[in-house]
Amino acid sequence: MRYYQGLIKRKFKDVVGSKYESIQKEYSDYILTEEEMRPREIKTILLPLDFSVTEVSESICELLSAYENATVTLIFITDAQISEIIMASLDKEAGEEFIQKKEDYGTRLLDDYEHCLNSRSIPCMRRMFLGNKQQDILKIAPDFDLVVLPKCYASNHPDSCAVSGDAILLAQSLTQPTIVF
Amino acid sequence: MLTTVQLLALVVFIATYILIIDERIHRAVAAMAGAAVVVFLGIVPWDSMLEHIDFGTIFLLMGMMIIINVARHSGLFEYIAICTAKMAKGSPIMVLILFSIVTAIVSAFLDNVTTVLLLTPMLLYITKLMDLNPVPFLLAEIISSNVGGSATLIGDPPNIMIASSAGLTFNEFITIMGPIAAVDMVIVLIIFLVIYGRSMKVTKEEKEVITKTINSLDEQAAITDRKLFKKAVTVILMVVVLFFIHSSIGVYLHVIFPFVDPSLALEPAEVALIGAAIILIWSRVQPDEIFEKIEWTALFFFAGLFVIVGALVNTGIIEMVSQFMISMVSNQFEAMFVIAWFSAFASAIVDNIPLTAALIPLIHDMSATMDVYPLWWALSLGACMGGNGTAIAASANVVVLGVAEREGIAITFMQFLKIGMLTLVITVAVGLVMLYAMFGML
Repeated sequence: MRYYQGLIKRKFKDVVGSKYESIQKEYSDYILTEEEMRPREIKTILLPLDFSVTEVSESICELLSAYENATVTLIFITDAQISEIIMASLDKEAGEEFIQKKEDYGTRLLDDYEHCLNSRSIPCMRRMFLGNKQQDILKIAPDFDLVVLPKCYASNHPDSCAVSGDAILLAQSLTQPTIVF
Repeated sequence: MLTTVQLLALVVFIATYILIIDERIHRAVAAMAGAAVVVFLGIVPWDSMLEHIDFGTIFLLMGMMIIINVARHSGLFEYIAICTAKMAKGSPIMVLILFSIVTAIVSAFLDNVTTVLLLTPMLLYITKLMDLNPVPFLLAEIISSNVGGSATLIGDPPNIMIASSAGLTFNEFITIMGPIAAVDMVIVLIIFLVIYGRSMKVTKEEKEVITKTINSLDEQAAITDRKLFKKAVTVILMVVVLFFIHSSIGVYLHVIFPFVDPSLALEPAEVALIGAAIILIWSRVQPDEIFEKIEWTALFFFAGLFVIVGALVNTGIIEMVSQFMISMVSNQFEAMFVIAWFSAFASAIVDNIPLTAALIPLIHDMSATMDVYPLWWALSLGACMGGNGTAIAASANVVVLGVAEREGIAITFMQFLKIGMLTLVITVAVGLVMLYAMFGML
């Protein structure tokens, strides 16, 4: 058996040479590898939220319920840079008031999303912090299997935006699967 | 009794063939070394060495290698593989049937090794999608390649060698070997469906998923160079047409150009070289890139074999074996029987190329006492179908088994032998009966 295997290897090498490697490479351009064919297991989902999100999307809650045993982490980020500008240009109180308003809004939004997910038996965690809406997501995202982005995430004009620049940039930069809704 | 020179020629021949079977030394190196020894010993004098090399075979192979290498650049084979996969519509049995038929047809007109090398990755991909044992599919591909290759003059190296040496035409091959290959192909498919058909089942839901995944493959994306693709297809079709009319091309040309002699005929090697020249001029592919990809090792392997067998001719060993054979058989019927079965079983052990190289001068030698025309077809049948006998009997077998081994699929020697020998016996038997019928010997 060992002689036979060695014989086939020797004859294959002599007949084919290095052609097979180049053929494999050509095929890999349009057919999936074995690893790619295996569906990726989704256990952790990141759902970033901000002021641009005005209402809970029932359809995205429904979609996330398809990932059995996955935990959704809701994150609400208030732009730290804007808070600093407000504090610097007006006063500390105005800055704190700005942050408080955003946090109140964020708490309500997180409550609503949590309710929406829990009603479909999707376990979820929540966080709220001051930071950079784009850079912080890029830092956190590698710990998650899937990122779900609101289409107008980080937009200053959520009513008129089709897809925000930050949502596009994040979708392009993240290595894990991303859903933009 | 053998003379010393005869003994030396025989020892070199046997030693070289053992090295070719074992392949610890590259087969081309073994053949060249054997040739070098017989030339060095003066068994084949330098002056007559070139007479033994069949340049018809060498140049035909070279021309086809150039055409295939240019066509490969365009993604033609991958395009064929994806289209075949789509046609099967997720049915495992249809995958087996369609891939076998496509492999047989492509192998009939193009090189078997390139055909199986380019179709096997797609076949493996589909069997992975279907979550089915790929072994029956791979075995069917190997056998179809060998059966398909037997149908034409350019389909399999033994046919090229026989045609070049015996002066047989493309049309003679397709009219005599074509029907045999077609009938044998149907029988092979029936054998596979009877043996493996029950295990090739997927549920309706799985079938839908498989179809959806395969349909998502874009055959157009496989075409890396659209212009080259069209040119390659055109030249291949033109070459096939030229092969059909190569022996009577003068008749056709005379109608258009009256100054052309109607008796003008082209050798198959000329057709291949004309096709190669046209594709190189038309495609504008850098010739050095293509010439680098010519399988020089294969060409030197053939050249070496011709010289080693030439040593047996020069020393009279072939004549002795031929005399022995003639004494054993009393007519063409028996000679065809012996040649077909001997070449089939010997091909299974030796590899059909060196076996054919050794048997060609033997049949030439027998022409002194009988009409050997039917014997060439018996040799073609035995050598081509004998390629199915064992895992090492033909290059296509080694290629598919090597690819499978790299992908972690083990096909044991015995696993191959069982189906290979069964196919060999049935296809040769059916083919031989058909040959007897064609030559009015039944």
